[in-house]
Amino acid sequence: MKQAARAYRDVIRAMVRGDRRSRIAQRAEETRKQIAMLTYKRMNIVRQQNETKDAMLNASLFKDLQLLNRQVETLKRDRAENDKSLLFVRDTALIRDSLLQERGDNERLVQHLHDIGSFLTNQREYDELIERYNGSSKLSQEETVRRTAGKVGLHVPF
Amino acid sequence: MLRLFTRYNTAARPGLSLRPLATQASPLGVDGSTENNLKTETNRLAKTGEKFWEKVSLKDDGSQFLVQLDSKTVLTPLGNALAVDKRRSLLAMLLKKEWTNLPSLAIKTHALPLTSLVSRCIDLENVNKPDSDPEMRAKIGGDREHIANDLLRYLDTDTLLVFCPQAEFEGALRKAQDERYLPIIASVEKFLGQYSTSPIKLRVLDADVDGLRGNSQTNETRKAAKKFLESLSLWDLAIFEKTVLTTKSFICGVLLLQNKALDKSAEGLTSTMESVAQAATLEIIHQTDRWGEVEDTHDVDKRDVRRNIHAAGIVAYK
Repeated sequence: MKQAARAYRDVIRAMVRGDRRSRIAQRAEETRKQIAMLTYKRMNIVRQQNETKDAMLNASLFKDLQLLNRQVETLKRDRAENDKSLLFVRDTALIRDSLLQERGDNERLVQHLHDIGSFLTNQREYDELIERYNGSSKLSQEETVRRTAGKVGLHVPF
Repeated sequence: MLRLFTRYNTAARPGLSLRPLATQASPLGVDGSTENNLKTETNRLAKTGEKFWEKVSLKDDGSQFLVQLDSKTVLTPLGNALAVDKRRSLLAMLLKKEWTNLPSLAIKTHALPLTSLVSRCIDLENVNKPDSDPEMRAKIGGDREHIANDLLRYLDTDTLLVFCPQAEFEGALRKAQDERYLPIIASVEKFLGQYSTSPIKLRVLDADVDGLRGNSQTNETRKAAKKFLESLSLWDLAIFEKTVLTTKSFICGVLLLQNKALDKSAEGLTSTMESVAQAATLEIIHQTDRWGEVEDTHDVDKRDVRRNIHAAGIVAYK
């Protein structure tokens, strides 16, 4: 039973570490999208402000603009790394069930859980290494093109 | 298109030509030139490299777990549903996790080892049904006979059948090889003996005696090994293939399948996945011990071998 508990703990630990990494990346991507959206809204408001001569409307537009600015600030301050909720793993029911069904004394299952833990750990470390040694692979296509052009002193015409 | 999942972009790795150990395996016999234009999720992901879904879920359809993106079942490169039977519930959970954990931007091709292997299993099973399309079979190199013949070649120069000279590493490597390999070889000979009328003797390469030369097994051995391959289910064959390509060792494939099979493994073949990985990379372990790890080579390959072996082990477990 003790061994089963240890195997279970190993798997969960590996899961949390792996999940956290990708969830931080996903969160950053989401934030980026939201900021882009808010910036677009802001641009629209500024345009409206320039067009209108109505003082009342102008004042309300100004308020909206400030609200948007605050939202963008909050988003920019958001640090996914500090989020404690990322330290919890969500879907463990299947592992628990399979352990309970076997009453935890099945050697084969325990071994299998250790394998799953090692798999998750090795996969995460592999991803991290690939990212470290090929830093540019994370950039978007446009960014890669822009940087390549920049390297030889050119500018991309858009 | 499966290849796209199983190895990372080599063009982006200028140091690759210097790498002494190429462990990234691509399935044998895949026709790289053929465009695959089937509209499946796996192909779409491979082509666009962008995340296009919101929610990943598992659907229980009574006998199988289906992996679904926004309630549409994921299809393998050949257009079959990505599904695993209910005995493999942990595998289903891990598949779901793989898709959930993908970062949304620029999905890298090495991020889905389990999906890649399970897709190969499912596609192999489907193209080997009696009324299947022979063109599809050729496309993914799915001919059983062909796969078996290709895999048999690994038995000739199996990692576990090649012994280094006594003088190397002050005899440390040879000692480790003798300790690890000899019992496994004896047990595998016994194991393959079940598939033959006469006792099997594997030919090994001893660098002290044979020097540098090729190796080939006897006809009886090949016949027995072939019979063993024919006895495997198509899922096991795909798993076996993955293991052999990763470890460059037929024997490691036998070890892995034996240890993950439902009934107890054959005598002397009990082993953990980690020790399979160690046996397959024993020489590298000694080399890095002596000379240190080369960045972007040994550290990456170490993880690559292990994640692939473990992935094969996880799919093999029922």
